[in-house]
Amino acid sequence: MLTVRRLTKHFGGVVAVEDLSFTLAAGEILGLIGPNGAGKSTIFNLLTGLYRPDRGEILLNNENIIGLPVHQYARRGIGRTFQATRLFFTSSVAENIQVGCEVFHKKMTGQYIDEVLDLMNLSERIEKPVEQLTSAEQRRLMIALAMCASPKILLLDEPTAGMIAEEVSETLEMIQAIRNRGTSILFIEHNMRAVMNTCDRVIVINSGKLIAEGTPVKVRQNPDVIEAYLGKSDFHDA
Amino acid sequence: MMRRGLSYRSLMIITLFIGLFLLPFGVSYYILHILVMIGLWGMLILGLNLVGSMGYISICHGAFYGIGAYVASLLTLKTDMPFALNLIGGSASAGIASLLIGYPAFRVRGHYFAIITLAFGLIISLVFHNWSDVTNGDRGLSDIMGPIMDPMHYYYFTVFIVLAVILVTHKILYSRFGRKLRAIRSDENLAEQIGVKTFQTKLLAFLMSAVIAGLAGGMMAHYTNYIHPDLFSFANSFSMVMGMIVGGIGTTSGALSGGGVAIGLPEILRFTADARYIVMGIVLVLVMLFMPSGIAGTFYLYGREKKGPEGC
Amino acid sequence: MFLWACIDGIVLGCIYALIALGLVLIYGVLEIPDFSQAGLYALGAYFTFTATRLLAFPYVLALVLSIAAVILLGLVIERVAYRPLQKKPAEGLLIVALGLLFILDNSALFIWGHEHKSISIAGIAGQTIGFWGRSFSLERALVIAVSALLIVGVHFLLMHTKKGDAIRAIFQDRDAAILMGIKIGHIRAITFAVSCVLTAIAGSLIGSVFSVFPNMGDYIVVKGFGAIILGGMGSVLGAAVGALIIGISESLGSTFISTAYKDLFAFAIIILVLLLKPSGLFGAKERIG
Repeated sequence: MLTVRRLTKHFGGVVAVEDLSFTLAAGEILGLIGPNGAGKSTIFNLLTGLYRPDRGEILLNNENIIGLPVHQYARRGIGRTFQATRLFFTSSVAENIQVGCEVFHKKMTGQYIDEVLDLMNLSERIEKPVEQLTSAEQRRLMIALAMCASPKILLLDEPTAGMIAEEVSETLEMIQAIRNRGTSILFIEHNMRAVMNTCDRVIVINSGKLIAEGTPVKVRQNPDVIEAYLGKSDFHDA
Repeated sequence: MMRRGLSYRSLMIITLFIGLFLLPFGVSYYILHILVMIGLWGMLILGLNLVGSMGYISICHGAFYGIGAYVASLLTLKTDMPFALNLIGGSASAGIASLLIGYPAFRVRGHYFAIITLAFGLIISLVFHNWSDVTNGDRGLSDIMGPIMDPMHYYYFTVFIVLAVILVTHKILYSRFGRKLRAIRSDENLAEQIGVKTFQTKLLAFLMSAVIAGLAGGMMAHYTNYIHPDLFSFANSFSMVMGMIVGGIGTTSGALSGGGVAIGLPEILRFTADARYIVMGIVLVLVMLFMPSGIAGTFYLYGREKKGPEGC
Repeated sequence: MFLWACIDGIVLGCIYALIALGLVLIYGVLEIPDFSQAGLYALGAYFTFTATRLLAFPYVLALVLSIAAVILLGLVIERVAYRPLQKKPAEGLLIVALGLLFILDNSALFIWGHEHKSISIAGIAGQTIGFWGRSFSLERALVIAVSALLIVGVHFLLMHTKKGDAIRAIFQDRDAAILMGIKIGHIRAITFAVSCVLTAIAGSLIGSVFSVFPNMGDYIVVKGFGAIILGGMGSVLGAAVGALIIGISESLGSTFISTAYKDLFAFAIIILVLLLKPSGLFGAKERIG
């Protein structure tokens, strides 16, 4: 589904991402973990066209999508959320979703919209202005917004950030449900329990390089991974 | 969606219509003139609204107004083409100009866009002043005669066109396209990320606003029968922006009240001579500081928070 | 002919560079596209004109007074008009800046009238300097010299003083700078004041080489921003280079093609760069999502 080959990005003298290669299979939930500042959000920015890589390829269904305008990434099926909550704050939930879906008006049906909102448990809140939503609801709305493109791949940047345990479980269930509908998911997380329970596979990034890859259990026992996290308080269970 | 008291609003609109129709019978030519100008400026600002709704401020609509006026006038003066076609020619020219300047201008965001438009406005003004072979320079073009010469007839004509423009812009702002515009204003990068073709959308809105401005220009030329470069200067572009802000960005009633302010304020301040522009500038700054939603935002949206019209 | 045009171009470029520098500083620290600098530019010129012509002060004194007056106005503007709008959407600042430009321009028009004025610098006026076998007016040399000095001075300020460090920190990452304890309000005022100095001097200098008229700032500020766009937004060096490019293009175009349309050439080169390399000549700015 998504193949990344030898992806490299420099900012001035700083290497953000170095020679990164991985694949995301159809229907897979892939965790992307690593210490803070390791380059995870940069990878997302590269995968959604905000940054242009210096080297490497990004193949979506065997088609190289590097260099396309940003809006094409969504149109070809890559949805994405952000680390900080980004929404159209001055509008209501309904309007946010409408903008997200109208882009694809030929393909979207009202039924799909209802399904998405139902999935994210936001059907009740549909008329509310975004500002009045709780923080967890807002983060779920971000996911719903990304779903509007009926994406084949969903990139989630710390979807459970700032949530209490109950909300985290709920959100993780929703992520599973999204996968069960056929969307592949790549998500950045610091919450190790979430990663262990939800991900099929995990890749670990440190200083822009891939240092480990495999099932959650295997990765957690990997000495390189443990060393990378030693001394950093990012490695936690919630 | 905005809740509206249906019957109250319909009543208001009907009264307005009747008033508009009967108005010319009781007033002087001077008032009629003012009303026509307010109508034209309302048109200009309605067009500008499309761009303002995206969160972009264009400081060159005076230039589009002028291009429409000059092209339409030249078509009337030098060819035998019918009036309607001349007006369309003016609009189309303004539209083409907007694409030419919009294409590079929208490559940069927000503030820098405004600067490019400011520069464009200044250049076009320069051309109007200096390209004497075509524009007759500072002497301007006179004796621009259209088929409608009677002020009262022109008043009805203007009202008709303005109502059409109101309908069209209203429809646009409250449609799917309008939602995209507001999304761009809210968070352009996010909009792009979810698949909105922001560049094309922005260019389209800009084009539409320029076409309307060009039409207003052509109409003005055939009403006053004389145009000259100072009518399309930076000061005018500025007044349009001022009108839009004071009236309330993105609203229809705001556009019209803004037009009223843009025309009315200099008239009221006639006695202060050159200082009136200073006053207008102060008004704009004060409005931005204390009443950023403009007249429409502050007075009409009682029921909602004063943040300006959003959503459907 | 060509040399003359180039020298004039460099003179213009220097002026644009001063303005561009001021604009870049304000934009980086206060995040405002400060159109009011156009008005302050004109007023700076007018104050100097009034002081020298009507009050018969020597040029340097007049310049100092003018700078002081402009700084005062500038600080008032920053405090009263810009600071309250810090948190609101970005268009607000743009519009207020525009409004201020309008106010200042028309105030100049109101007080001093339409006619072009010029500033003569006693002791220098009419004198020439020899260079490469030709002679050029001393005023031009003065403009270039003073501008160069100022640019170096600003560079020194930015690179080697504590305040400069603070300014650069805010430029790079505003939030981090606040967390580090930098007093934003203080730095805002200083940055604005520095800009005002550059602007006032620029206006006063140009008044001695070319002329002073109410709208002089409008074109200049557009070119100043154009220089910033050309050079790549956020790059101080780029702005200076951009300014020189614009100045020389304008001068060459004006001399060899058409004087009336000189501003068109300045504009054309900005558009050209914008089309070919939107991030500017030096800008490698990535958009952050």
